[in-house]
Amino acid sequence: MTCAPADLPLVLQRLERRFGDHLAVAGIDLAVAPGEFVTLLGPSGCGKTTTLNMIAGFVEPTAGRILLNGSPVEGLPPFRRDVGLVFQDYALFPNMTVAENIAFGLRMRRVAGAETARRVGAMIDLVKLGGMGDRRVQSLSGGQRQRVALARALVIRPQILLLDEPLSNLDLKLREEMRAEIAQLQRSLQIPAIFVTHDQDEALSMSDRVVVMNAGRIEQSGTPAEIYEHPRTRFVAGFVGSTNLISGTVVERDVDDHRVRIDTLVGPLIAAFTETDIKVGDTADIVFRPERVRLSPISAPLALDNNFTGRVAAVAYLGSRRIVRIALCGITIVADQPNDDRHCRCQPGDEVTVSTRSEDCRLLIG
Amino acid sequence: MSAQATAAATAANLKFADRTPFWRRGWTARVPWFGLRVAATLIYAFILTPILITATVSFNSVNRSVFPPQGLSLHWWGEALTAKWTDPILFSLGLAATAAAIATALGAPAAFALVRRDFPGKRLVELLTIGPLILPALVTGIALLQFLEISGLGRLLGFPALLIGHAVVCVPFSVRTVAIALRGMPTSIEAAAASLGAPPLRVLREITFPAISGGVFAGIVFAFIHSLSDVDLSLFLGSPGARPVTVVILGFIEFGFAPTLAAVSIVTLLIPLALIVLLERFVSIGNFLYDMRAR
Repeated sequence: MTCAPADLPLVLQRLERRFGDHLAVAGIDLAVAPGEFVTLLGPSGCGKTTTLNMIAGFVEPTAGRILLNGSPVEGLPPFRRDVGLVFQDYALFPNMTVAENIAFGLRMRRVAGAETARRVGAMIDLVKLGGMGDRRVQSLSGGQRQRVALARALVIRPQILLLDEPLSNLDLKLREEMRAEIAQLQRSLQIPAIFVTHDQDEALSMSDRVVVMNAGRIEQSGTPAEIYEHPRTRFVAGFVGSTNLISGTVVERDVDDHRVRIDTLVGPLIAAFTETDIKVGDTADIVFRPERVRLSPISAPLALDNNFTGRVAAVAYLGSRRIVRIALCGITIVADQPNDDRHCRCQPGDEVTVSTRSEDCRLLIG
Repeated sequence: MSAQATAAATAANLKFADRTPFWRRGWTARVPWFGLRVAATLIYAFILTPILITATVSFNSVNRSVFPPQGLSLHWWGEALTAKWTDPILFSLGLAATAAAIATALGAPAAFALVRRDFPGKRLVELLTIGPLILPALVTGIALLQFLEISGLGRLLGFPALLIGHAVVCVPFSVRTVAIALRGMPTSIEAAAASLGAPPLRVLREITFPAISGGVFAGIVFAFIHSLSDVDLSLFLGSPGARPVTVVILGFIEFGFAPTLAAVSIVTLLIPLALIVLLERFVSIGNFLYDMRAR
């Protein structure tokens, strides 16, 4: 984020939108780098769609700035903003063919006929709809419609591509295919994109950067790995992936090693931390992912940084994995185990040793 | 696994339950459907038999409307197609077409305002646009007649007064059909067009209008038919030489129901019927009669 705003395709500064008493977007800052794929991830009502609508020009901000390639666009109507928009319901024009849909934006820009035909043809091939230019959009499948919507938004070479939950109307298998296809298309065209979704798998698998939003604010912004492995707030830890959370009090800290010892319900626990302002006596939450929990029989226990003994309450068999719930001093720990020989095949009722490494336990304050 | 399997099985059952012919189901399922068919058949017979009788009567060879007809002749049809009758028919067609056009020009923007905007007094405007449909047209006719005479506009009686009255009572049709079409169209296509660089008027012309054209067309046809078949209003607002065919028929009937009248009636019946058939080819009328697509 060292670039000047003029070099960035999109900069949001203290952007805010109020609907009556409700603060839908509570002053967010965001900068999108050239060619970057940014995902706004959050539950419904977190302000992600309102943010997208403000960038597109359908909702006016009540405060703050929107800079598209350095120039402010607040107050400009949508048709003067030069953004490409892809909708959840595809929003194809029912009275036009595939090619006419894609050519619409070029027609509005008064691009010459030959140039239009060339660009539309190239775009149809790019989204793998070759030979379908004359089809009516009603005759297309969901995936094909989404491709037309993408082509229509991309052919105008927008300053930024905005995607509003574009995959949520597709079935699971098609959704996974389209994820890869959209990400690959965006990378090859190098058009910066903002993708809005509530689906963490989409966010993690497609993005250069994930921005987790909650209640109109940005909770955390980072690469998919940072968001998943180093959640900074309780909300991010809980919303992105499933997690185990234990509360406790800091009893000892080792600044050089970035380790703290926490007194918790289940006993002392050693966790890693990155914030420097942790004091002994602070209350804190420890979060660790189910797949970072190791189980071993109490007859041959593993000895990692943190080891506890618990009783298996339930095992959910998922084929490639088992989700094991362990009752431990009145709380439940969830462990996600690969279904292979190296992992303990425990049954409900078994006593097991539950182990985690300290670097897999993240400390959240507050 | 089991939850998914159960859901799939239920879906399959539902699918096949619908395909079982009704006579293969239990009598408890059969009787209501059978009863409904009988009722529907009786209702149609009740509506259509008099019309069929009228149609047959017009082929009488004697100048009396007797059924079954005595002899067979096209004489009365020839008479029905002379200027005496074609003039009022053409007058009615011209009136209906103009009234339908004006009603749609007024009703379509009103539908936009009612569906797309919130404004103080919206409920009142809603009631006003539906009003002419609920109020007896007779009352509207008398009121308009008195209004025109009191305000010294009595010279408008005839085509101008008829046009005003018909346009007013026809507005609800276009408001309703256009509103249904507007509610049924996804607004995201307008947003998509705007984001692609289309200014509001181009969005209206190239995206919104084609999407609601079925509703606009249906509104025009319903308004046209309503105007064509109106008697109540026309009774008060016409003037000598400027009377719709319905009023002329009514005047003629005082001298007895001649076979000519039967022929004229059939002609005035066939015009709206042809229009409905034409309309059904392009849009599904049920959508606008029962508001099937409305949320």
